[in-house]
Amino acid sequence: MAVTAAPAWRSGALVALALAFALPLLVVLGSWLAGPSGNWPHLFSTVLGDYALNSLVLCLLTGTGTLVVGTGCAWLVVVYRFPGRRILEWALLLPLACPAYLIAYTWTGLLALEGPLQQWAPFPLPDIRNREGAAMMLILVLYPYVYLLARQAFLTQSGTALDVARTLGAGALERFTRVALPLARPAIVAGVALVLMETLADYGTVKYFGVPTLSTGIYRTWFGLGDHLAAAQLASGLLFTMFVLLWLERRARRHRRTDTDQKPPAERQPLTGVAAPAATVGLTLPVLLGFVLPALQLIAWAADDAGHLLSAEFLELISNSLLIASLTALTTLAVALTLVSSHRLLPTGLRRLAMRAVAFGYAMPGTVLAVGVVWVLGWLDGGLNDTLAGLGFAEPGLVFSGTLFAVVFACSIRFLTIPAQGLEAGFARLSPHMDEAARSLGGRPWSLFRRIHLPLLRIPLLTSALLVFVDTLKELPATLVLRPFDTNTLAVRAFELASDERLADAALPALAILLAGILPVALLARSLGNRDDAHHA
Amino acid sequence: MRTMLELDQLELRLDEQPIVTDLALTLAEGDIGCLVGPSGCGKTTLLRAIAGFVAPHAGTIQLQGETVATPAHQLAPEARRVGMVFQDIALFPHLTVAENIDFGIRRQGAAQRRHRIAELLQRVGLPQMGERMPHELSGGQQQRVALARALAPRPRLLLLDEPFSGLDAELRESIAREVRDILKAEGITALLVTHDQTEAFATADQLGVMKQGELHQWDTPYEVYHRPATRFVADFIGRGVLLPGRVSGIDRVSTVLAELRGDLPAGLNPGDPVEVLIRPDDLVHDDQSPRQGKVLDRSFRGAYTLYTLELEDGARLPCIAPSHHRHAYGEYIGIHLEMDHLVVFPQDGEDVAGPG
Repeated sequence: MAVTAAPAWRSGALVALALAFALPLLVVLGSWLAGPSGNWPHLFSTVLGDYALNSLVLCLLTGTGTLVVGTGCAWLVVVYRFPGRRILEWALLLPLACPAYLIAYTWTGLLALEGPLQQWAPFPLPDIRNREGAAMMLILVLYPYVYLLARQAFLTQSGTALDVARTLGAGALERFTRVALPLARPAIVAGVALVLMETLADYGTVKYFGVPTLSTGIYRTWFGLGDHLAAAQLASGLLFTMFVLLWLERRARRHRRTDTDQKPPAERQPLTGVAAPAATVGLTLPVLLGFVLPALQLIAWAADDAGHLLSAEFLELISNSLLIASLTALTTLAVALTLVSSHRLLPTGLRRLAMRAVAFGYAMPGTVLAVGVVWVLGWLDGGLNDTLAGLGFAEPGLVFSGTLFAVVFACSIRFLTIPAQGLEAGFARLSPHMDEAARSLGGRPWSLFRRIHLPLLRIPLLTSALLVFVDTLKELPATLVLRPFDTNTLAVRAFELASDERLADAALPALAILLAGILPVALLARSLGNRDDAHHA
Repeated sequence: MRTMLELDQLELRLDEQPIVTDLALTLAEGDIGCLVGPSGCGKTTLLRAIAGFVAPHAGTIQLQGETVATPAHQLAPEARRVGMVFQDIALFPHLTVAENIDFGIRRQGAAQRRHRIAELLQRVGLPQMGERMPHELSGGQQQRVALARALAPRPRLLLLDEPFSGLDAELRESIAREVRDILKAEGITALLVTHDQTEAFATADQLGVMKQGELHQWDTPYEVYHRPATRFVADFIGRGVLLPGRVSGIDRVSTVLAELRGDLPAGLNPGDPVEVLIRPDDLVHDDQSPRQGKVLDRSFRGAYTLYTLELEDGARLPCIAPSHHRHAYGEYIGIHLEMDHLVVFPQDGEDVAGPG
């Protein structure tokens, strides 16, 4: 393809762009260049052990929980027939719509002494505001990651493999443990790795439940101890763990078997006797606990508070959130399009590096990201002000770190990988011969992009815009720290009100986030249906 | 010989659509049965029902006199001791060749299992391949491993669903013969499904021809070829044409070629219009014969040449001639009929054949 050499300035600009997005990451990692913070002995002897232990136990519990729930649900849904199966198949994704911190505070309200459940329960309901409770909350909203990948693995593994096992005398349990599970293992590992990344990145849930973890520890070190260097170095530790998980996930995906000459899975077996209603009830539980009950509680609270729906404060929350989410979606789309369509501008190795750096953004917990962004933008503002002052101009103030720019920048880094991967896959489906045909017909590169690529990439563009938009709406920890002084968003306000024990007041913004969260889940659910049709065809 | 498999009045449905209707057949212990038919005729569904994956809508399936499936009750596939080799081979991709073969015999002693695996690898001609992974094998090798895996637990009956369809055309017949030898060496009863009659002739002791869920004939390959029970069987198995004729006596039919003698199906009266099956080997090229046909088409097959001839009334017939007899298109060549027996169908379209 590389017929004409790209102008050097364009390649340079592209590298600079990728570098800008990698800068906060580099800063966090580079914090060790300043030497270890003097506070490390203090941290070691006091809180660090707690942080690490809590994070580890959370990972263990959440990992195991999502593994069991996600894999179990996927297996039942794929292999058996029972009442409600078709609905549950997509309904099991609904908890994805709910950020963990929302469900944490909603369940606190549900289980409270004066809450709706305690009035019916003959025994005192457990207090969930502890480490194990946090794990429960995380399991409830994160198991769909495992469910989704395991379900797909079970679906695409040859149905005849299970039939063969039957003709060789293997019973139901044996077929699961000896054939289905080993075949689906890479997918399940990938799912659990994603869950662990989300668990380590979680800020809202553990903060709300008062469980000190590495993620909240970074903020405590930054704000409480005032030691920015130690915070960055602590963040680098968390980041390293994320890299390991990301690597694990990548490796697992590579090992996924993609035999193409497979038969559709065998006919689903009907469950008989008590097994059928048991499966229905068992699979309804995660949906009920992870979505329906919290949603109902939020609706009930919000109904009492409906008067505030049109209040100036709520409308401002909405407009702030929409603004940040739209700006982030547009930014990520533009950057991703530039990077992905750059194959004629950058050497393959450099481009791959840029794409990989982009993917790391998603592995950066919001707290880590915030630390990196504050450093970078702080320097930038400092430099700008000093320079302008030196030239005799008025200081413009914190134009980067003190404005929405910081939030949009951070969210863009975190979610850039969504459009980047979506568009990369979209481009990969376009035959290079089409480009060549268009160019041989006299199309210039720009008109090629506008007249051919853009229309054909409409779906991945819209889908990734939606995903980034909703993910930004839900984002809490980075927004919490980076937002301008007087600016609130739905997520931040819901979290603040809940933290002040004003659970009911938090319902309106929370419900708004939940409703937005349903959109991508609906998209996902629809793609499940399509795949099923393809199997029947 | 004892009966291994007996199907009686079997009716199978998928999504309420009848797939197999009123089917009966028996397969003796140690025999290899083969079902052929165009795709969609229900043969794979029939195999899946025998294996236990499809419940009968009516009728019964018996194995060694034990009823394993009725509409009311079915023995689970894993309890039937019926092995199956699937069309897509479906080796377990996460297990080695030896582990694949081992899958069904895990409950046996370790030494016994090792011995059985070695024996089967030897038998299918892959003695050194035990530690390989499935994806490292060629298609033909995978096929043999799938066979060894199904044979390992010594099933009562082995079902093979289009086992050779994934192989190259040249490989097919030789592997089919090889599989027959392996099955015979193991002394196993097998039922094989295919749409390729070369495979069927190469392997079968008993041959069945199916069409749209009905079993038209269940007999030895020789009988099926030479005494097809229905017009469909006559057409589907082997080459041949149906030559119009008229009953001219209780044991004779007059055609444009000659007056043919032989047994006629009951119910035919002199003067009735009929059709007579002419196979290429029934029509012998004979330069001395006064009866002649015009060469319409010629297909050189190496050992012989297959001519298509046109008679004076427009009827077209296939004719096998020795390879060195070369005749040009349009040339008239002498022929005469050499038939051991008559296969006659009434011309009113009713799909029944005479006893021959």
